[in-house]
Amino acid sequence: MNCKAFRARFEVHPHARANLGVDSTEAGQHLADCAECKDFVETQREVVAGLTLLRESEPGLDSSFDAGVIARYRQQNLSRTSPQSFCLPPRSFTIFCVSGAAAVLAVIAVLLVYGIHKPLSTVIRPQPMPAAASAKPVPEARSATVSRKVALSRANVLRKAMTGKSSKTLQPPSNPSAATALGEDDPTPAAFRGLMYCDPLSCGGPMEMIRVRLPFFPDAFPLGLTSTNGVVYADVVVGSDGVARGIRILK
Amino acid sequence: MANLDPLANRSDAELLELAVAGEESAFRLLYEKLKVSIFRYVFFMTGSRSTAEEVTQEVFLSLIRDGGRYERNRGEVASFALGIARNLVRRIERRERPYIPISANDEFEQGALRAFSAHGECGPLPGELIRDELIAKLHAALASLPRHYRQVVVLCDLCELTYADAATQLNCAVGTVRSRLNRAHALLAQKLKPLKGPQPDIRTAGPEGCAI
Repeated sequence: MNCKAFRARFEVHPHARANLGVDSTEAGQHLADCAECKDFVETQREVVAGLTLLRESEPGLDSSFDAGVIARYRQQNLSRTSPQSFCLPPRSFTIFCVSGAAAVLAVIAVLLVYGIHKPLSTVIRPQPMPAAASAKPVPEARSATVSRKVALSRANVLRKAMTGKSSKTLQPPSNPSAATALGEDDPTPAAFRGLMYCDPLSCGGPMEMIRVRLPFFPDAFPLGLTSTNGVVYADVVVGSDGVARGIRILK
Repeated sequence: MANLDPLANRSDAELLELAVAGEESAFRLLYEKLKVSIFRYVFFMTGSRSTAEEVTQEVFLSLIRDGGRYERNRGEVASFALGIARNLVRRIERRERPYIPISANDEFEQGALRAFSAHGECGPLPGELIRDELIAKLHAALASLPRHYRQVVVLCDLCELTYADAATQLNCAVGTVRSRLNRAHALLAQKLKPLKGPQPDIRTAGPEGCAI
């Protein structure tokens, strides 16, 4: 056995160090022959003895220290279960309330916005006529969104209006800008011939424009109006009450 | 003591769970099981009894406070508690001096001076004083070791952990623990060599012979 192998045996366990030199015959023989390893073993034994003395000198924990630790444990327990922890609302509940309030506000905002920006896809907003409406042109509808509907079922309403005042109502205006105003404040849009007395009070509100197909009667329609297939087309403005307000013949 | 009996057969992990839940008797039992090893480790790592007591108390309170972090599959509760102690000791070491010089031992010097003045001339020193001096020197020698050597000496030699347990605690290989321990013992042997020199005959040498 060489010195390296002999000293490697001391790495097994620190408490077996002091005995390794004498437990093995081979190691014992090497020790007898090697002064350096002998000195090494002696040094290791002294280190172990010193550490043993050090360990024996460890002070113990007295009962007052133990009582202090138990007291701290009780204090920590109390602080964890104190009523203060119940004073604050749970975080989730607070988040829920805030979210609910935000949702309500959002719904109100949507309703307000919807109420302001109501779709005008089929609405014609009549403009009130000025006092001297007969001499002045009828202002055109300001609504930019006027869509045309072809509703053959509404032609029945028209025919009734036509039979009542056919000659008068179907007269195309010689001057479209000056016609159609039977009342001073007729809200009927320009280029339409009024079919009933209208003023902002009686005919207020949105109107709907529909396109209808009418049978052609040469005597009933304006001079110069012709038809190749026996029908003419007309746009009719109808109020929200379903009563036709005005008509214009399409050439 | 009767109320401890139902808990006597519980494992440390179960005791920890109960203690975290507020069961004082479980905490007492766990404390009695682990307090010596925790205190021993901190005392020998820091060399101070007061520090060891403070840290030991803090370890157990942290154990209850952070008991939810303990995982059974990662080791025993004792290892978990020792890990907390190691972290606290590391924080203390960062604040304080890393080494205590062998000569800077106020208690030893004061004791030697008292003995010298009490005897007038250099008479035989009380055995307790010599023993205390040796213990103080051993503490100083241990404290002067680099930290990674000191740890293996404290864990293996003083706390009597096996190489495997020490390796788990230090998160290193068993071979690393063995080699560090070898090196630590060699360093300690060098530091302790002056202590084993031939002692002068203090009855005949005169005052100057009493200097140790």
